[in-house]
Amino acid sequence: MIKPVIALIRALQSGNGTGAVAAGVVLSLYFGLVPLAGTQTIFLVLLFFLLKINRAATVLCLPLVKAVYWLGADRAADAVGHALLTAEPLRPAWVWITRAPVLALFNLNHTGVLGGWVLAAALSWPVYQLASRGVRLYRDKLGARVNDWKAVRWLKSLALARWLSSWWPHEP
Amino acid sequence: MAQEPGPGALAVFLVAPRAVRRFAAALNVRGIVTVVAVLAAVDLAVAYAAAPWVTRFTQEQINRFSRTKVVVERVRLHPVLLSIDVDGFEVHDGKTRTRQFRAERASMSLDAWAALSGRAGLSRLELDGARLEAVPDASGRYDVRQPTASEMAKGTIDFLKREVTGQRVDFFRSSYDKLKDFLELNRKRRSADRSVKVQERPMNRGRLVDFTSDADPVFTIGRLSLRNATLVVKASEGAVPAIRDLRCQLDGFRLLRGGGQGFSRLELEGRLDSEKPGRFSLSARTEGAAADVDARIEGLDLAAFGPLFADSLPVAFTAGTARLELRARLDEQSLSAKGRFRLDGHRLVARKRLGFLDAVGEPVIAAINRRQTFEMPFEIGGTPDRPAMAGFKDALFKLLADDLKGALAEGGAQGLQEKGRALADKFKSIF
Repeated sequence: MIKPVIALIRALQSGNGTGAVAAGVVLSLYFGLVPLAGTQTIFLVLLFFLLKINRAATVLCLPLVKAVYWLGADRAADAVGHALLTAEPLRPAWVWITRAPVLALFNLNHTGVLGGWVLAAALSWPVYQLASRGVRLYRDKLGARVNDWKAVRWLKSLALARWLSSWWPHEP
Repeated sequence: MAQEPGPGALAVFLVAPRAVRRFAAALNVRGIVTVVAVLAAVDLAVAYAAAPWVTRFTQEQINRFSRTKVVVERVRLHPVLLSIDVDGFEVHDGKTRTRQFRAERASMSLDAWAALSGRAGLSRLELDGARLEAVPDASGRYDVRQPTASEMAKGTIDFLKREVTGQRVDFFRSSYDKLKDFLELNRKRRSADRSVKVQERPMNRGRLVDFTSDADPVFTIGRLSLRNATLVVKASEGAVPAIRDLRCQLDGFRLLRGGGQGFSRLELEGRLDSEKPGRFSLSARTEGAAADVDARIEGLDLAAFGPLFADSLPVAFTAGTARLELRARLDEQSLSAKGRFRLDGHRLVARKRLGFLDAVGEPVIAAINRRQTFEMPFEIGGTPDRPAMAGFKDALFKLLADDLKGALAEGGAQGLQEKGRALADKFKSIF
């Protein structure tokens, strides 16, 4: 757990682009709101490793998103998915999607899965904006103060933490 | 000092466009070679090292879900190439345990495009050195799988009917009945509602909404090939010569969700392994609900292969060979066929009473037997269920008329009178 924490703090404080950190937060939305099984898991994991995002942000925000999911977002996703799948005007599109190569493997005819993707997509832009502003705010106002916290200074002082962070791949 | 480019590099520089050169320069060749080597190692390890376990698993799964007993000597699964090679594939009758089918080698490749679309399919299935033994059961059915409960009930009724009426079913009739059932099933599937059905299924979390149609393919085979195969058909009267060097190619086979089947092209040919060797070929193409068939048989030993169609004809052949050419168009509602057949060195005998045709049946048989070679064009119409043999009747009556004219030419009016008296006697014996 120490590595991601150190990496996130470093990313928040470093010249690491706010976009990368915000994109990492957005990706955690998809991991948290879409029930993971089969092909979509592989797809999201590929995005996690291939995109220039802050992976520590994804890992640290995921528990929060998952908590929101279990506290009621899953029912909202199910309702959204059911409404879309049973909408008569959209039927030709679903018939095509459930037969199209690759898309057919994403289980988009499951109400929870479709609803999760739709919710995550709808929240992507606002969350990206919030996360970007949050990173800028932190760096401008809070960064120096957090560095002075006893806990943070203790963490950074740990030989183990210094050794681990020397092995952590440089975040973009 | 910069190194001079070699001739190969110069050739690439001159021939390949700049974008390709830049792409090639950006490739991690070492990484690509490593990935290919790892994939090859995985493929070979699963195919050879894991073969015993894969073989046992495959055999257990097939026997669990099919109504036959399958024995497999070895299965090699190639996960990277998405192919399976099988050695020694046998199908045994589930009850009697007699072997009905064996293929020395079978090879199949997974249809990646179908897999990506979420359905099962093979791009190719090849069988080499297959041997199929078709043995009729008590109800006259030729099949390699165990019948379902409804099929057993129908078979029992058919068996009892035949025991009462004395009518038996030969291989030709069994095959023709299967063709009619196939067309009838597909007609029902086509006339059924082809629209998309929406069905919701509750899951542990959420619901699954299925969008299905009876016309959806659930299993496809791009190309099924059979090489060096042998077909042995046993009839109720005994075995007939085998069909050897059988070659079959079936393209575009599909099983539909609603139960129908379809294919786009079928090519079949083989050698008739009787004392007088013969050959046959069959070519069929489908277009929607219709099928165009082109069939040829040469040198069919009528006596040896007679049991296959014995109960479908009112005559039996004790000698001779036949040659048949047929072009037919079938669909669910109509049958249209034209062809010609030729008999050489033949001998016919009547099998049973022909009813009102007795008056002309025996003279026709006699007229055919008098000829060393008999050739006849024919046309068949009607429906697959009720074929209309008007073309046959016309040709046979013409044969009879020619014979009567011959009698007139030979014996004059007296000869014709004698022939007419014979025919009249026949009528009297009926009425």
